[in-house]
Amino acid sequence: MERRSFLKWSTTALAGGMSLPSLGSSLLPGAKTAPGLVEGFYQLPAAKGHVRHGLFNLQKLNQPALPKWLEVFEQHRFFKDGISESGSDFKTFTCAIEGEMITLGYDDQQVFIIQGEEVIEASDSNRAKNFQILRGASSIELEDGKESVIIVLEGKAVINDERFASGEFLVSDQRVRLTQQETHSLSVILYPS
Amino acid sequence: MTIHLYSYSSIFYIFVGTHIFAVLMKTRSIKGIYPSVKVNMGGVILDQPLPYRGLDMVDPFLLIHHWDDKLPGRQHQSKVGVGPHPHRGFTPVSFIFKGGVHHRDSRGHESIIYGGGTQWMNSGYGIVHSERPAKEIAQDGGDFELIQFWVNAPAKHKFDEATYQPLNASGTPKVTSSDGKVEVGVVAGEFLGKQGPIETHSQLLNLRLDLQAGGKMDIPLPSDYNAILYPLDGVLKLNGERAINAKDMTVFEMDGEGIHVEAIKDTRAIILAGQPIGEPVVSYGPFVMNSQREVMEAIRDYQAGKLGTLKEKFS
Repeated sequence: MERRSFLKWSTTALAGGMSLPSLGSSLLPGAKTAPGLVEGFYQLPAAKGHVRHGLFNLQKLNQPALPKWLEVFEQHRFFKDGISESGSDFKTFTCAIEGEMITLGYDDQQVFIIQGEEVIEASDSNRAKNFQILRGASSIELEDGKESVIIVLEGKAVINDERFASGEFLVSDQRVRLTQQETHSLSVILYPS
Repeated sequence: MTIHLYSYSSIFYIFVGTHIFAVLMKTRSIKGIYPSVKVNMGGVILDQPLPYRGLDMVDPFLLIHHWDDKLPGRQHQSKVGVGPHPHRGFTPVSFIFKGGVHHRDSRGHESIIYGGGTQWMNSGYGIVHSERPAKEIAQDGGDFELIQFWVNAPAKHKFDEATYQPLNASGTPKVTSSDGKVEVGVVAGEFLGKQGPIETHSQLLNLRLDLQAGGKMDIPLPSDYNAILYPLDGVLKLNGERAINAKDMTVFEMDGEGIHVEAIKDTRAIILAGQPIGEPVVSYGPFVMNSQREVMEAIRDYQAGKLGTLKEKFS
């Protein structure tokens, strides 16, 4: 399999409305070049933290690396104690696949999925028609030939031989193996229909 | 026994017709004192005494935010304050102390309330609102101060239609102490014969206190209500024994009939008292529900536009 070089955004937030030229020197060459990672890997901005009340609204991220079928929104982190960050905070990840909204809500105990009118409490490896979640110490293999976006939401994951941290994501259309070793790890894999 | 009771008690007076009855009031003991911490609420820096680390709520009160600011002027109203954001499942209340607050919401309510007034919103099923300093304060600058507190709604009212009750200073009934140095504004509930005009979902007594130095007053409180006192400034002595500084929240035990306040300095304070609701609470960001699933449903409905949308119009 051909190896390619990749680009990685720095941790600088690409919050809604920010245009590419304004990134300046934050566009850095990536170092991860594991086999099978054909497109590239990137990083989402950190979740917006909320004390009780907060200023919650949905802001679409301007992330040029995402394929056209996928929109991703700013992530939110609602502080459990209403004051400051902790391991028990409730977090949300929202995206739209070909216009259909999906939201994951999760804490250290459970994962909820909102798709359309449904609110589903997710099991360890939920598979729907256009997304899949991987929770805890587990692994899956993605087939060749279909574009997908793999986002590590919580903890760490290994994709083929590369380590991915929370917030990092990969766009790929090749066979890759996603492995998580931590019980609190959570990744989401998104596909077009 | 009599001496013991007196040492923890205070005397207040009941007026019945032309007769005055002196009543011995057993004061409530102090359960805890909690200093405010600074928090960043969507870019606005506030004092927050509640929640406090280890004190998630004082049922039915979930939050106290004290926003005290001086606006520099030459700003457009759209650039100041807190822009559109959703709520569901509780009642956010603003006591305005300085300046004016321009309220707009997705149910079509719009009003500006100035110092001494109250904005009382039952978010119910859901609402999107904004809270911004009045246009002239944004343009000309000036003091801006409010306290926002949250009252939980009982489960049976969490999906009511949202309502908004504005109350001006002139519409807020007042009670004055016998020494003339303490003025109490009665916003919700009944206090010494005055009824607060706000309609509430649970039993509440919410008061605004304005005390001149040396002023004293007994504040009777229903014995089954939780109670909080928060001074915005000044110094108070509580129950004749304990000095309380500005921005320190006092929570009282339910072991008496009221509290006695005495102002060491000129002081503005609020008293929040209410009957506990006693239901499970899951509170994240702008939503207060009874379960995590209900919070997710609130997020779903907000994203689907079911809480309404607010397009602010600025003149």
